[in-house]
Amino acid sequence: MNGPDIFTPIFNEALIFGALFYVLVLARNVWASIFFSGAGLYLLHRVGTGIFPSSLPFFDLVVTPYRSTFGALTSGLAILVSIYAHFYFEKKHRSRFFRLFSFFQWACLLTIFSDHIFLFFTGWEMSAIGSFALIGWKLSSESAQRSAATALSVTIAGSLALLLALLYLSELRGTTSLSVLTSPWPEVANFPNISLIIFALFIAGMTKSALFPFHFWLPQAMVAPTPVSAYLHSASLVNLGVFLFGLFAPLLKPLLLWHVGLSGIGLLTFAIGSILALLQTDMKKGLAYTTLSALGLVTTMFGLRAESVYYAATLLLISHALYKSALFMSVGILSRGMQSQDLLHTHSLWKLQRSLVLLMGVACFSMVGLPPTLGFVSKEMALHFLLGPFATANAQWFTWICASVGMLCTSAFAFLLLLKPALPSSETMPKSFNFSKVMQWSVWPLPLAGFATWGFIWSEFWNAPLLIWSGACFVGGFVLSLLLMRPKSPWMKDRPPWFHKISGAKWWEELREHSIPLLFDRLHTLIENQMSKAGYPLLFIMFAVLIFTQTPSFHWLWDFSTHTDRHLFLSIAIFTIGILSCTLLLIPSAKSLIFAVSGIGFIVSFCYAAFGAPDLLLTQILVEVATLILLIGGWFLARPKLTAIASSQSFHKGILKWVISFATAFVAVSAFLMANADLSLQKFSSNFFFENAQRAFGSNIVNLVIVDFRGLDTLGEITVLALAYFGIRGFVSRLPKSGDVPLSSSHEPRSQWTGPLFRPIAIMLLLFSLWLFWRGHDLPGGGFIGGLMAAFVLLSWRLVYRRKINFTPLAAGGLLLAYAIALIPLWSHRSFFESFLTPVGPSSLLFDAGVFLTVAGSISGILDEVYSMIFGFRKRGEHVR
Amino acid sequence: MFVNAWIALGLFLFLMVAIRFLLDTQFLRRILGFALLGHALNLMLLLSGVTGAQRNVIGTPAFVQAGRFELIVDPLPQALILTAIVIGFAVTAVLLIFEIVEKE
Repeated sequence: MNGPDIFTPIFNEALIFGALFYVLVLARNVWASIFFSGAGLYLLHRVGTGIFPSSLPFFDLVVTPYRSTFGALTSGLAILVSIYAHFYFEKKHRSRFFRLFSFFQWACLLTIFSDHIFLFFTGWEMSAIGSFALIGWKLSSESAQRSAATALSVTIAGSLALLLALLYLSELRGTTSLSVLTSPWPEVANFPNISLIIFALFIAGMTKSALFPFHFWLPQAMVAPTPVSAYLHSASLVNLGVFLFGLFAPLLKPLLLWHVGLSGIGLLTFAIGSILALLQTDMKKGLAYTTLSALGLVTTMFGLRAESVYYAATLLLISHALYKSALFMSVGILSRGMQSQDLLHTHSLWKLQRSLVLLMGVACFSMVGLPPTLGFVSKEMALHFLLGPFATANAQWFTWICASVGMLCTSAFAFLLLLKPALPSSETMPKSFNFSKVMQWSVWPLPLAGFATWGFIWSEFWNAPLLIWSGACFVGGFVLSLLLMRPKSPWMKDRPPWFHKISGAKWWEELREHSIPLLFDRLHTLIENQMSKAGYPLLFIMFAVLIFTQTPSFHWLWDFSTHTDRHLFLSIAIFTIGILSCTLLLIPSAKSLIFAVSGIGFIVSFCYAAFGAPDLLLTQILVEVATLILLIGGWFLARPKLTAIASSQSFHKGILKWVISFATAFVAVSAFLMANADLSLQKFSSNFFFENAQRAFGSNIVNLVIVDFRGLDTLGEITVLALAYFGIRGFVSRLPKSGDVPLSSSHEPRSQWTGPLFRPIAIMLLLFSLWLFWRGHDLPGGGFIGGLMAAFVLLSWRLVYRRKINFTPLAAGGLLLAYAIALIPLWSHRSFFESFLTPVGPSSLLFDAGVFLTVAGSISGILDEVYSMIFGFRKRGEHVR
Repeated sequence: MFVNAWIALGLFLFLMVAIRFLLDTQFLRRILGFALLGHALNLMLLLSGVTGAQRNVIGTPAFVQAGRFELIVDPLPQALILTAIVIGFAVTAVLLIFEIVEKE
């Protein structure tokens, strides 16, 4: 982009808030979904024709032909699926569906187009969470929730591997940009731990794309509504794993491990998936198995070394997405009309609904790879690459076996899926076939799009090798399907036991239930309880936060490069405070809650210490003690009210309050971060205070600011403090008197030892507080800290000797002294608060003495009022229940 | 930049819990929420004083003996926070007494 880039930040924000606004507000119906998916397609088209730049400086997005293939599939199928879903769901469910659907679609697009590794990872995780919500659509169904949790736990476990690989690679190459990260690199083979990265990437892609042996979650996920299956499991979610392989193929292709591993996994999945599909009678589950079989073939493509495998792989993906989503949607119509999802119970469709049979016919032909369809070209090209130059001659037989089995079984399944429902059977024919004509019309564009793609690949078609061998496979598949459909074939009976062993997920269940139960249980309950019921707003907000912090203007957040020890300590301490404050939510007892909050206050004071603010450390510790005393007193007074705290069920339910807190905290921290992001700011204030410290006869600048430079502020603050005390005093004195019983007849402590011991200690502490006050000008201390110390001494004096001390004169006297110091200069025609010398020292010392007295009087007075109430109640015998 | 993701996340969680406590119906939670909010805002104010290349002076108290003003942490936020801590206590006390006395 040329010229001054003033629109970038605006566009950046507009994009984020536009996406947010769309998902939160607009994405409620089919029109919004069509419009935004169509806009996405149009944008991709513009980028493809060179009107828009392909690499966008904002937002870390990048558009390459490879990425836009996936993006176009995701956006294009979204249009058709949302039309289908509009008629599939009842009206009351549409709003929820479209929100989740759009959220998921955005997450996939984010993954596909992001160039920053964290943004990529964010999209990856968000798509997993979105798929969780969509698979677990039926909240009341146990099996749906279980399948959703399985899918989520598998993909999240895989995503940890992805994070490992991404971080390791970015550390290695010194960049966070995915396009730089995945560019070819001659030294890649020399790096010792590159196998680890490759394994991590394998795990990530295999879990996401449900490749063998992580295939089990995909058929389980078929409990989802049909539109969800059609979209997630044919075009968007499972494609992401393959997308990852294709993204990293240019970098890792020279390595033997990548080549052999990926081809091996792919071929194995291709064969096993198609065998398992053939053994299924549930139509949707069978389709799920063929999905993983097709993805296995695509994965194999990315493992091969030839340059043009990309072409074959993307063609395979396009044809697969088209025929598979068409089949999913047709099967949805079929099973709704026949009231059964089982292949064995469907028949006679040809008589009932011919157009549906035609539709399925085109899709199945594409799946088999019969000539007029797109599947034909893509499969031929794939086979050409597969049987071309392979790494070692030993693997040739493996490739042949896997490819033949896969082709044969896929063809057989396709013919079964087409013929079994279409042909008549001896069973009684269903009376009526309920279906929506519009739903069927929303499927027809898919095969049409498939034929339209011919326009782009026409020239390639004539160059394709067209192996006769694949034709043999399709004839074999046709014969096999006829054999299986015989009335007495074993296929109609029970499945073989090894089928359950392979298709089930026993080992994962065991891992989840026994080996790492705690983590998964927590995850499970957290997500099930919080997200399925009321957490959708939170889901969206989380999405927004993650995107927001990933924009280029916030990249410095991830800069951990130049730590000092203090910085590290502060980071860890503040993060710990955040985590600890979350644990406060789990504390049911009032007293524990008070102590826990107090503990957080002490950690805050350590933060002050690490920061280099000793005055704050002293003040915070003293005030924390005072607060603890106050709150424990308050707890004692109001115990009946507070014991109910554990039973307050409403606390965790108030989702609105959570949203408000979340939004407020988010805005506050964002503003704070933005204010801190400007590195050009200099601290003028400390310069001024530093230069003028000599004129104030002190060296502790914090104290100088309090009593010399900004004395007026301090004057206001001690006024507030004193007023708080007077207010409390006035308020308590208006309460009905508790019998006017003197607190104690004798002014002696209860224990005979306390009196003699306490008196010298108290006097020493009082002197210590005076010393703290005195040294404040040069060392940590001063009026506030000394005053707090004195307040504790006075309060304990009062409690030990049970002698009524009137703190009012102390507070009022201190306040008067401070005001007098401020006003005296006016007497001699100087300015308000101007400094002058007195016989005892500079006027600021006397002002600080005023602060000392006010703080001492007010703090001890406030605590005294609370504790007088406690002891007063006790005296009267009205012990709180 | 001095404020990194850990600090930002910690402050965010801290603020969120504090505000959620403030909004609660339980009066003890409201009061504790006020105290927590005070802590969070004080920390934010303190960290706002760190600007530019100043991240390396963290831990140097604001004394004249440091020699140059570039070598000390900003004293102004510290002075503001010091008084804010004490005032925060006073306001907490007033809230507590009001809550206790209200239902008497």
